[in-house]
Amino acid sequence: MNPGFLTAVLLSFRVARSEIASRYARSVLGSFWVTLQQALYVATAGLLFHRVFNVTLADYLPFFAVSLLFWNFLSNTLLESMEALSANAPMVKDRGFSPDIFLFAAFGRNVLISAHALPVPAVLIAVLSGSSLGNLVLALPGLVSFLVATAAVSYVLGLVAVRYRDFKRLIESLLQVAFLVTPILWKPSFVADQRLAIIYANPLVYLFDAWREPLIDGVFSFRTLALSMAIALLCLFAAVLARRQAARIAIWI
Amino acid sequence: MSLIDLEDVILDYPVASPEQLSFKRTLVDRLRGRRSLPSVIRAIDHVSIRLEPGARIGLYGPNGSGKSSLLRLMAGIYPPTEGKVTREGRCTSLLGLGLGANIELSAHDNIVLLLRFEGVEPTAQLVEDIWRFTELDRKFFHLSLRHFSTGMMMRLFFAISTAPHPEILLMDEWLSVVDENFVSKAEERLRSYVGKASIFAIASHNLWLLRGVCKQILFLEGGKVVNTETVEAPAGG
Repeated sequence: MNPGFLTAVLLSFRVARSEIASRYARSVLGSFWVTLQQALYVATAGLLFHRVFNVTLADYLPFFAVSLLFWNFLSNTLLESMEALSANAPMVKDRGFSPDIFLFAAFGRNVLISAHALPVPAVLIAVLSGSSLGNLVLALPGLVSFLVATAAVSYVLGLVAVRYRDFKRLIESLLQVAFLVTPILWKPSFVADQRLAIIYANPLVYLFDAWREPLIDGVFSFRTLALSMAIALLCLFAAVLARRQAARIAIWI
Repeated sequence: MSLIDLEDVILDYPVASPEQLSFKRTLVDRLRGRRSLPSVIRAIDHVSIRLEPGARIGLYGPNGSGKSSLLRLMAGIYPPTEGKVTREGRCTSLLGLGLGANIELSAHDNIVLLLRFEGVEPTAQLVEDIWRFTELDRKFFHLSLRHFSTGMMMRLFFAISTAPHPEILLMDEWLSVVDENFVSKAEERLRSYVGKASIFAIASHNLWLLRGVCKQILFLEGGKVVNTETVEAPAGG
């Protein structure tokens, strides 16, 4: 009834998989709609914005495609985790299944959906950026930090959103602002203005750059990786603290 | 070996005002140095119960007397505010009429998933046994639960939860939704647990039903156990 951490993780992926299966059950292409959607969006926005920013398509498209995919993953995971417990209230309150399962499932579901959209940036990076497997290996530690931070923050937000009913709307607004101030649509190199150094106060910059720079530009910075790992560890610490309160959460659902 | 032991347990429910449920409001109040804590309602008031293997107890009382809260304490869903709860054994809870299932999934997929939740491997044989127990038409087996009535879903959940034989089974106001025929079938299955050293607790408004399946009935009022009745010759027990 109160499974350990690993059992909860395993169950959450099963839940995520069955949710995706049922979500796309009535569509012909199934979850590959996600791939198509991603390709269409990246092509449209990419063709438009490389002209706006006056950079080459090869410079812009792979960067934008992969940044957008990971941003959508981050943002959807956080938003969906804040609905996870209220949507599964009977499972937690009446059946006594661990809240962990449903919080992790929001993460798992988005990992699986993002995996379907992954071919789009993967092809663009391989073709236009000329990245090799070596780049990918250098990007791995940064990717792990990114995933750990996303999972940990979504866990904390999922619990807080049960206690405070207006919390989700607050985070929604914050995420909209974060999308603008994080280099997703634009690259810092587009703007040679020193006053914009303020963007480096945004922790999301390091969580993205730690894997994106080695992957696309072949640039590996120990400082960026160390910062992103430190951020991920802080998030993990917050999640461990929050998990101590998780036993009390059913009473608030 | 299964066991539930509640020692002088108190459960207080937080009752938060809309302001206390608002993050922004709470933040502003804190910044101003004001702090308002949610008030509480005492749902369970100094209750001690010890249930050992073979125990079959009924909880009887009016709405708001604490039956469901007591079951949630036993299940470990709510931690006690004060006192101590000890629980040993694999526990299955069927509380509330809220449906703990994904209604988009088919009956078959729900059986498989819910068995995994209970920590049981869903073999083809077990899934088939469960479906047979529900006595529902075969054509519903692969249909999404959206096409099921509440009573049909209750049959399904009862069958899923009781088939792998939980060591502890906790049920709420529950058999009231299914028809008489299924109630007697369910009662029979519950009685069959007696020899298997399991613990069974059920809450109901129906004293007649409780006397049919329980050995002992606790009468609750205002979160306290006000009376205990030992059922003389528990049917089948």
